[in-house]
Parts: sequence; structure tokens; C-alpha cells
Amino acid sequence: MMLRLVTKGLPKVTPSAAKAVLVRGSLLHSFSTSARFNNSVAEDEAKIVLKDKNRPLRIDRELPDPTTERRKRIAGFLLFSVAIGSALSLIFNYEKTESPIISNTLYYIRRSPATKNILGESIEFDGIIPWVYGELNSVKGRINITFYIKGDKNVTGTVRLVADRNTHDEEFLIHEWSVTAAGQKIDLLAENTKTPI
Amino acid sequence: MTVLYAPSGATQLYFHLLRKSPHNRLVVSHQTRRHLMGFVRNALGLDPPPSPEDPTPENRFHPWDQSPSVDLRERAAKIRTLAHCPVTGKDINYTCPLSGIPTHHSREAWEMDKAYHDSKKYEILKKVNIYEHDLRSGRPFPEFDFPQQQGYDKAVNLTNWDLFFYTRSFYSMDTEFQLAAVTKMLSYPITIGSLLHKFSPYSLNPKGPITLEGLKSLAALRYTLYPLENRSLPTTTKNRAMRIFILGARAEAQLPGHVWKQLQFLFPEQSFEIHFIGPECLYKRDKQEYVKSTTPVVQRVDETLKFIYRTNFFEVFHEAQDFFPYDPYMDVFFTFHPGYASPESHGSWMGETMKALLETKCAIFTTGFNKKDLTDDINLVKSKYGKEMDVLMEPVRNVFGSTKWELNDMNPQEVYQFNMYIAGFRGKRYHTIKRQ
Repeated sequence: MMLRLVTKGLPKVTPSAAKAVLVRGSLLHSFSTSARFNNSVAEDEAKIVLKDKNRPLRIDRELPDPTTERRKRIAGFLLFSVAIGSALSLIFNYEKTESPIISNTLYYIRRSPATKNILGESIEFDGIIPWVYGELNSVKGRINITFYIKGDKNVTGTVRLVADRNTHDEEFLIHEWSVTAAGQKIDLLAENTKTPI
Repeated sequence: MTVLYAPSGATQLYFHLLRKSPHNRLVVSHQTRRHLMGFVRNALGLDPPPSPEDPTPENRFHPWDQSPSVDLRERAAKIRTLAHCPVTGKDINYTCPLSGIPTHHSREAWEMDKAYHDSKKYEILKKVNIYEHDLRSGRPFPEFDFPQQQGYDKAVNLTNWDLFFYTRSFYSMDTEFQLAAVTKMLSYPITIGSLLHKFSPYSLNPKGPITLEGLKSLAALRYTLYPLENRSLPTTTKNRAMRIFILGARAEAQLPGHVWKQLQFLFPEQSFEIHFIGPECLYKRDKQEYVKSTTPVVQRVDETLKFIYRTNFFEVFHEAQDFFPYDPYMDVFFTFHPGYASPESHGSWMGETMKALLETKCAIFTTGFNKKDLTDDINLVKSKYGKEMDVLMEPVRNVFGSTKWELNDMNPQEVYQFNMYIAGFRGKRYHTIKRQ
């Protein structure tokens, strides 16, 4: 690469300033009258002698390292995943608890004399977070749910509903609709609920 | 003329003119045709016809021996003096008719050069020819009207030149001549800006050329360049401008302030000090010579940009501790086409200068004319200081290299572009081990 040849000539000045920069940048590159080419620096004798040893050469700060705190970032990601998963589960379960199927079930249970005898009044979801276990898929026509209820007699009951339908035009066929509490099983289908309000 | 458009008797009057004066007939006919065509073109919304002054590969092509420009005729004579025919080894006496540049000893040698014709080198040489003539054609250069600062809501895209020009609202680069003229000037500031910017087009290994150590150094610089986004860092040390050291400065030191201002516009919150270091960094146009100054020459562009010219080698100032203390968060080094491996400049670069550069532990980026030029430089640094350096950026084609083709007068077939390839390295940093 002889692009940095030593010559003595210099390029002429071009009138236009903008062109001059471009032209001179190009032409000057072919010319060089640098003293560095007369500088015979021995490679093996390269050493630097600083004049003031007390003045710091550089500010020794650590460069930002993306590999540090890797374990912390992994733990943070896992915690984040758990939080998002929990939030999603709560959201999906909230849809279940607010389903009209659950509402109707609770409506019938609250007006069922046998259930009121066992659990008492104020029948509601048991536990801090209402939770409906199982499948509640109205679109597919498959319902197989279990949830827990309680009343003011401090007795816990389990509600179970199994129903399905083959097509969207059919009514749901209820296979089981029962409340199990204190060792007794109450079949809500067989119960006569025509008591006046 | 309005008589010709009268509905009644127009043909009769025109025929009358035809009889009387044949010359007048031609003039009238010509004017009528031009007027009608102009009206039709305007009605259809077409562009006006191109001006003969617009640059095209046809009107910008002249053999350099008979060039209308004195500079290029002198360059042709210089090629004939310095270069040799690649086929016969004799002097250059024949101008290639395809490219217009003297390349061979005779026409027979030109025809015998199979590599020259197979690789179509003459096409690039022709581009060298037409670009040089376009710069000296005297045409207006509206593309040199650079845009000013733009707001934060207009992001700058640094994927390539076209997207950069569009997102920065540059003048429309419709032809390759405009692109070549502007990218040659802007290649220096935008090469620096595209590396330091947070939307840099260079991605990490293995997809891109930036290594892990390169990410560390660039992240340190970006901590300084984007202070609002990194509030956790201590800001007590942000009491000075960021320093960009350009070693071996030649052409880049002659760029005017408004060209380097384009670098500052990419980082509106940051002020810069550009230190041009080298024996040829200060060029006086009135004296037409390089100036040697024992004191640094300071040129203040505005409150955010300052040029400092130091007309000596870097190791002189390093030994004098002028730049101490270096800070990898606020200092960065650039060497444009340094030629570490070049025989002419090997001694001055690879001795005390490289040792001093590696001692700073700051990022050092270097560009090359072509791939061989840059890889030779990097391989030489690796072979000599391999244990004392880290590679920050593998040699890769520069996204913002110049698109203007240049010519080596010593070897006319050796074509290159400024800042065609780029790489980065740094002095190796050692971490303290805590005492157990």
C-alpha cells in the first residue's frame, strides 16, 4: 500500500470552498510531507517516560458489564414470570366465578331448604379467593366444575356440576348437580324448589 | 403569435407566412412546438426536462489527458510518471477508452490484461472519473445545505445512508453524484456518530461485529452521551466535554465546522471536543502548507463543539501528560486510515504511539481503505500487542463509508473508498481481585 507516499508537492487551492474540501481531501491524501517519515523510531526501544508520576494516567472506573448480576436478572425474570402467571390465573378464574352458570347455581343453592338446614344462611364462596376448579367451557359444551361454599353455621360444602351438550342448539344435559356437606349429599335436581319468595 | 390561435383563418394566415418567408416559418414552427409541448407537459404534471447541467455519466466523462480541469490533467501526468503497467511493467502510455484514465503501457497491453476486463475494473475507474469531473463542473451543490438540529420526536435511523438522509431531512440525494459528494464529507462525523449512537447499526457477536468488550466500552460512552436515561450513574464527573481524539488527522481535520456539527446534532445533550493530533492536522489554506505549532490551536465552533489542533505525535503529548487523566466514559480514539502495517508509517505508529494508545484503556476505532488494508493493520496490532489488547469490533464493512470512489495514483487499478472498513480495539483492562 503506497498510498502514503512521501512527496514535496502540495495541491493547488480550488476556488469553491465545498469542492475544495472534497478535492483537497482527495488530493492531499496522495501527498505527504510529514516529519514522521523521517522519524526512525526503533521498535524494540519503545518506552514512555512520564514527567509527573503523581498525576493519574486515567480514571479507573469499572466499565458497565452486562454479565454481572446475571443470577439476579435470572431470578428477577423468574419472579416476573410467576407474577404474570398468577395474574393470568386470577383473571381467568375471575371469569369463571362471574359466569352465569355459577350465579344460577349459587341462586339455587341459597334457596334450597336442605342446603340451608346444613350450612345455614349467607351461603357464599369459601376461602379468601373464590376459586372454581375444573372445566367450564360453554362454547365447547363441557362443564365439570367443583367449588367450595360455606354458610353461617361454619360448615363447608362442596358443589359439583357435571353437564354437557353436543351442539350449540341443544340444552345442557345435567348429569350431576349436588352439594356435599357434613357427610350428606344433596341432589339439587331432585329437590322441589317451588317455595314462594 | 396570438394570430396563429385565432379560430378563423388560422390556416390561411399560416400558409401566407409559409409562402413569404421560409426562415420565418421555421422559427414560428419551432416556437409553437416548444410552447405546446411545455403546456402539455405541465398539464400532465410531468417533470421538466433535465437541464444540460445535470450530471450524467455521459456529460461528466472526459479522458483525463484531455480533461477540461487542470487538476485532472496534472493527475493524469502524475499517473504516467509514477505508475507502471501491470502487464509489461513499463511506464503508462495508454488511456483506457472505457474509463478515461491512463492504465496501461499500450493498447496491446490493455487488451492483454484479462483480469482488468474480467473483473470490470474499468467500471469503477469510470466512476472515479465522472465523480472527479462532477466536483469540478461548476454546477450548484444544493446537497451541501445540511440540516440543523431536529427535535427529540424525530428519531434518526442509522441503518444506512439513505435512511439517515431521509430521517435527518437532508436534501434529496437523487443521483449518485450527489450521494458521492455528500458521503465523502459526512463519512468522518457519521462514522463516529453511528458507532456511539444508541441505535447503532452494528450489533453484537455473533450477529454483528461488536464483541462483549466492545459492548462494555461503547456502553460506557453511551452512559455519558445519554445522561437522562442513566440516572443511576454518578454525574459528578460530568464536568467537561466528551473528547474525541483523531490521530493522524489529515483530511478530516480540514472539514469545516458545520460538517462536524452533524456529529453533535446526533447527540443534542452532549458537548464535544475534537482533538486533531498529528503533524499534518493543521493546514493553512492561505499559505498552502502544514503549520507546526508548539501550543494547541483551539477553534470554537459554538458552545457545544470545539476543535483543538495539536501538531505533533500523540506520544509526545502522552509523555507530557497533557490529556491526563483519560476516562473510558468520556474519551474515545479514532484513527482514519492510519496504516499501521504500511511500510511508510509502520515505524511511527507501532512504536510509542500504539503503546501509549493501549495504555489509555479507552476505545480505539480504526478504519481502512479496503479489507486488506484494515485486516493488515489489525493483524499487526494483534501480533505485536496481542496480550495487551482486546478486540472491540471485528473488521467489518463500514455502513457509513464514503460512496465516492478514489484512485491511487501509484497504481491506477487500485481503487478504494474512504472509511470502507472499520474495526476497534482497546488496551486490555485488568480487574482487581478482592482480598479474601
